[in-house]
Amino acid sequence: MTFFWKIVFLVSIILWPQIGFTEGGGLPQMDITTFPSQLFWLIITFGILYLFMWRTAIPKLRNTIEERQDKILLDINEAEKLKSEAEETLREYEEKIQSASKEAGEIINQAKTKADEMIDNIKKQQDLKLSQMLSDSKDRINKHYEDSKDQIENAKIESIKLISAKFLTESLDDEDIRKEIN
Amino acid sequence: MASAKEPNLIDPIHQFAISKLADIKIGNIDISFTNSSQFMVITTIAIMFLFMLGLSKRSIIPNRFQMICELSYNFIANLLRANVGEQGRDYFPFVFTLFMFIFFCNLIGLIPYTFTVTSHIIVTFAFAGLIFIGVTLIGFVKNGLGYLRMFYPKGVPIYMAPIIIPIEIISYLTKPVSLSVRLMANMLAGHSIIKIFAGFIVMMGFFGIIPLAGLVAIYALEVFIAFLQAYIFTILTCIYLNDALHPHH
Repeated sequence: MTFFWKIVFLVSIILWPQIGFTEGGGLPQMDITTFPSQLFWLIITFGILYLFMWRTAIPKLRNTIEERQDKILLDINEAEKLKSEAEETLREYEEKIQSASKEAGEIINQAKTKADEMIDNIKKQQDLKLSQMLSDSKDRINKHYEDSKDQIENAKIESIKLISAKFLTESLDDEDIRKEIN
Repeated sequence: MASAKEPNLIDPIHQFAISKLADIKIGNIDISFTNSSQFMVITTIAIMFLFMLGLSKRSIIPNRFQMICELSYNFIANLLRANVGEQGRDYFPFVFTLFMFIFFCNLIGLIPYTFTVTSHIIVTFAFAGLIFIGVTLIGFVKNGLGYLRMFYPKGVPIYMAPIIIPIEIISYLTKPVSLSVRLMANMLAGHSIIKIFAGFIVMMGFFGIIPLAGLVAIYALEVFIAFLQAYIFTILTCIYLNDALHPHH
């Protein structure tokens, strides 16, 4: 702070005629008659302030700061606990999702096989029905065929009988005609 | 203040004059309540008021007054921890009170028409003397007569002892003087300059705007110095305390 002293010195020299001193001259700082009073009141005020700080303010401040640090530590612990809990929950959730998707896949597979079975069954039934219908129709056709064959034979025999009656004297037996035709 | 009779007279020293407000005497000793005492009381009340305000609602998230208290607490606690170590804990209340008192005296003294308690050598010397005596006592209590070895540093050849020991003793004894004069001189010089510049403003009339700018700058500097000198006083106290607690460094 020598800078200040220089300025004070310079300014004092320049303004010397203008600067006056308090009555009695000299610095008030050097007036020793004021010393006891200053010391007395300094001891009283500083003493009171010291007691206030020592007994009241500093313990309170210390407590407040320590409480805050404790609270922060507590909160950090709490937060870490909650975090691990959340992670646990997340893991469980993921596991559940995995098992659920596995289950869903199984269900889908089962449904597929069931559906395939059903389709196969229906196909088989249809095939059975179709073949039955086919054989039925064949039987009917065969029957008609047999029926018409007999009818044709009978008609043949009848017509041959009629024709032979015109040309022959003796009438032909049915059995004989059948033998001849076949 | 320029006196009424001579308007051009600048009296930068008048602001340090002590005037009695109430006459009190114990025996022959004059302990009158003066403007100095008045501002000691104001400083004490201001600090106590600030701390009562800051500590009335002690909450986890501090309000601004609580913040001021906690910041100053942490500031001095860190200062003490860095310079003295964990042993300095016991002296924290004193160092903290010392810093707050000097800082507030310096700051309040910057308000116009107030009185700067710390601009008087007796006040700063009382603090420095108290610290000097306290530190010396602590040194002897903690280290016994081994504390005297501090005046004869290790590794100094024996024939240097007659020179070194007086120099060390003198430097030890001048500590309170330099400590007290530094603070008092800074306050005296700073306030005198402010007063002189303020006088220039009046003297120069319209052109007083030029010293006014200077005054504003110097005032800002003085606010900084008010803190700085309180800080220097406190840190030197810490250093002397450290020397007393750990003399073999």
